[in-house]
Amino acid sequence: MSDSDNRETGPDSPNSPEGADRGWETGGSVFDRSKTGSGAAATGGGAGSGEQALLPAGTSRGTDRAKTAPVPAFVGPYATILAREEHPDREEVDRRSYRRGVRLVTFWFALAGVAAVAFIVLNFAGDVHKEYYTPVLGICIGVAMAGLGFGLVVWNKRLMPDEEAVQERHPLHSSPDDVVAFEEDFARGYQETGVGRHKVLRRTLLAAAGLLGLAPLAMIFNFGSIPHGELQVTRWTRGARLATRDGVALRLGDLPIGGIATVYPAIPDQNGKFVALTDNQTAADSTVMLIRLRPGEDQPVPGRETWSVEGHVAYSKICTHAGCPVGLYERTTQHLLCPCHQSTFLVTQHCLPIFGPAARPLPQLPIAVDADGYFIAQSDFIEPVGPSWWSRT
Amino acid sequence: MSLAKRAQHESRFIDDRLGSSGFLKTQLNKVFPDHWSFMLGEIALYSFIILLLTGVYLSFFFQASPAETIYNGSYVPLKGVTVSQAYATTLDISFDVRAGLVMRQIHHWSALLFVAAISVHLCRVFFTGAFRKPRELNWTIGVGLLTLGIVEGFLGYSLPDDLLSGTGIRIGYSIVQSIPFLGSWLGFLVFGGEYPGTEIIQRLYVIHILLIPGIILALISAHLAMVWHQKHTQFRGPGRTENNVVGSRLWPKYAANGSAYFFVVFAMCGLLGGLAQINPIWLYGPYDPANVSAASQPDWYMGWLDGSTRLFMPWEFRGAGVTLSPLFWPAIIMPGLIFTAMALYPTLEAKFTGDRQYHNLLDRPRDNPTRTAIGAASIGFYIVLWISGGNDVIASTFRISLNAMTWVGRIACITVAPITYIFTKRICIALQKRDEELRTHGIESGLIRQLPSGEFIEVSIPLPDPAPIELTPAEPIEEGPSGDGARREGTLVGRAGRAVSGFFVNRETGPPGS
Repeated sequence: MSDSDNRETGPDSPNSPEGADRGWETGGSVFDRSKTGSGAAATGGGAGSGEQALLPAGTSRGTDRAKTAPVPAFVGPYATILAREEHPDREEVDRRSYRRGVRLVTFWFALAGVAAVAFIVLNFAGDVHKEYYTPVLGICIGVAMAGLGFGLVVWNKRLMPDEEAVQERHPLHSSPDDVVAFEEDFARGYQETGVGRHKVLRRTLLAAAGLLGLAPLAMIFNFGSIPHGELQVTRWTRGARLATRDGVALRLGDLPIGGIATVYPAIPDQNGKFVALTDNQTAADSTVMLIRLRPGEDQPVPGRETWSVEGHVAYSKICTHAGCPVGLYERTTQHLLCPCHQSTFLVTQHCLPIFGPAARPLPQLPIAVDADGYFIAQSDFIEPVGPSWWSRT
Repeated sequence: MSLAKRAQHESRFIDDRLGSSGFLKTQLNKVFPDHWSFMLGEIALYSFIILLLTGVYLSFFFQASPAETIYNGSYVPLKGVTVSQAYATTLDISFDVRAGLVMRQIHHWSALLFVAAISVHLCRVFFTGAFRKPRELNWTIGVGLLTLGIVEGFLGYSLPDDLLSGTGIRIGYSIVQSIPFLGSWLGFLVFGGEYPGTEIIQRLYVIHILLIPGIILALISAHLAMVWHQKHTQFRGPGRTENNVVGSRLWPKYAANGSAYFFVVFAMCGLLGGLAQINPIWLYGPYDPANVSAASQPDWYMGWLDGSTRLFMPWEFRGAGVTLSPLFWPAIIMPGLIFTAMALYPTLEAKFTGDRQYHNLLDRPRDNPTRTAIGAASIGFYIVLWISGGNDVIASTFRISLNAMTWVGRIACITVAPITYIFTKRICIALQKRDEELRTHGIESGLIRQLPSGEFIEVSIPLPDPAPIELTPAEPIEEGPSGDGARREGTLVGRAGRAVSGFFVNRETGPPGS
């Protein structure tokens, strides 16, 4: 990356037309010539003499092919064409293949046109409810696009002359003069503003800009509230019934042994009628699984012996790892499995996590049975449900 | 007026007003090197264009609203079910809007292709060393584009408010919540209150169709402008030097190639969108926080994060009045570190090797065994996480214990990377030695000749010149003027560089011929 890049041949370089002519008349495959031509470049280009290196003809290999002149076919002002195939329609034998190429390209373009028309027709006339509709539309798009694409590829390969061109790279960095001039100009401008001399100006400007920058930051606070204990509580209250998604409150005896039900809090409305809260906002933290274990199977945490009713236990369905519903219950092993990250909880051991990334047991909901035989919550959960956060206590 | 005349007329009209011809004449002759692997990035560019086109169409029919409505479209199994507007309009796009489903599926397929093409393009740039000076900035932009592409894809498939995507958002909320100090507040900020709230779909939508596409568009423009200005790298070969570009000119060959490629990529996406079903949200059902389907899988580019989250040990820090969730490490720290390391890689490699040279000729992977080994080890680590993201599906398909799958994944994500590193490095060095043999001894002919003296010799055929295959250059890896010796004393990097001397440039097994 040095001076070797200083190759500037004017647009009216005397080399151009001659070079072009010579290249045009030569034969042989472009692959052969590209190797000879660029071989010449390899000797010179690396040496750093720029364009001069590209021009000298004749490596030893060049003479192998009498009709190939190992000279750049075309020296343009911006790129040197090392090797250039003659235009494919030149000679008789090529011309036949050229005509075949034209026919092939025409075929692909025509196919694309037909597919485009088919798409338009189908868009209006097709039955959107029929099974064929989407696949055929996709095929139309595919064929139309592929027709254009393949047509262009064949055009490129068969109907355009192949070439191997060389272009010099120019140094990316500016000339030392420019670098210095820029730095001086910038420094001069900076001096003229006087920012460096006036401390007050500099400080007030920075302060004003900084404060202005705070304004949109302040607006970010408008996007949401600050948590005020919402994460600590759910919708369960003392006396809330355990109701299924259909709103049916469960009673003692509704569940067979080994049975499981997903339940939501049902709370009395103004008329005293219990209404199940199954909306997404409630379900996101208040969903509970009511499970009936075999008698004596449950091993409660000491002090929580009264939280279950005749083998019925209730645990939060929200995984303590990432908040997915712990949806898979395996009756034989009494495992609850979260399908998201495979945390496994042991129901008989107060839902201790026994495998996977969850670190805390599923919170237990203390339940009882009211006078009418309905399951009710004794209170809300005594700890927050769901995944952990920094200030969770 | 003939076509040529008309073209001339138009060109002069524009030139009279903009003076464009002077600039364009140089650009038409710009030379692009030809190699199939240089077209990988173009797949990403073209799939982004397809994403814009199909996305605009979809946005006319989609309503990002959580408002509840009773579905009454033509998908019979869900008739009468209460769903969100977002879910209902996605069903409408899929079943009642003309060309809706094909556009939706093309959109989804090209999103998968977008991230995939960026990833493969990134590997190409990495293993060939194309990120070296002067292209470090463009590498960093590329890493930014990959990150944005992943985020954009996640936001996009979260929009329909179906059971699968809703579960993804739920996990996303939990991940935000796991951030120390700010987590619960950030979650409330993003969701407008406690999860799920009513705001999130609208917000995701605005970010998905306006904010991130805008940034991606700007970054792609900068990315391309830099490639254009700095000129493309090229592989070593006859006539190719650090100071030239050998290939075909923009006009007409390369332009024809590029546009043909666009159409072929579009054709592929069109066929996939029409024939290969993707994200059938009507089968998943509307989102319900209390429900999840087993074996639910995110889009492919999220799989590795799912895997890291699954594999992580249940380590939760509780104490001093604070809790640190086990989500924080695999879902925030791990990807954060990896993307930071990726963005900084060109700088780090330059520091370790002391290489400050311009590089316009590409390495072959074997030319720099350490870099190749780092890349292969990273890919190995990624694949372990990615497979673990679907370990439940694999476990049930092959009747393996899920716990065994998880433990294999846990062990593999620690061991696979170093093993891959060592093996890759050995293979690269062996390949270098083979190249060296070819260069010095030629090709083995398999012929043994007995000399009159009775001595047996092996006949080898010398390599033709120039060699038809590319060999590792005989020069040692360039160490710039600021190489080992010139490392700044005392600085952290200088000391680290000395401590791991031989990490990048191994004196004993280093490049042969040096």
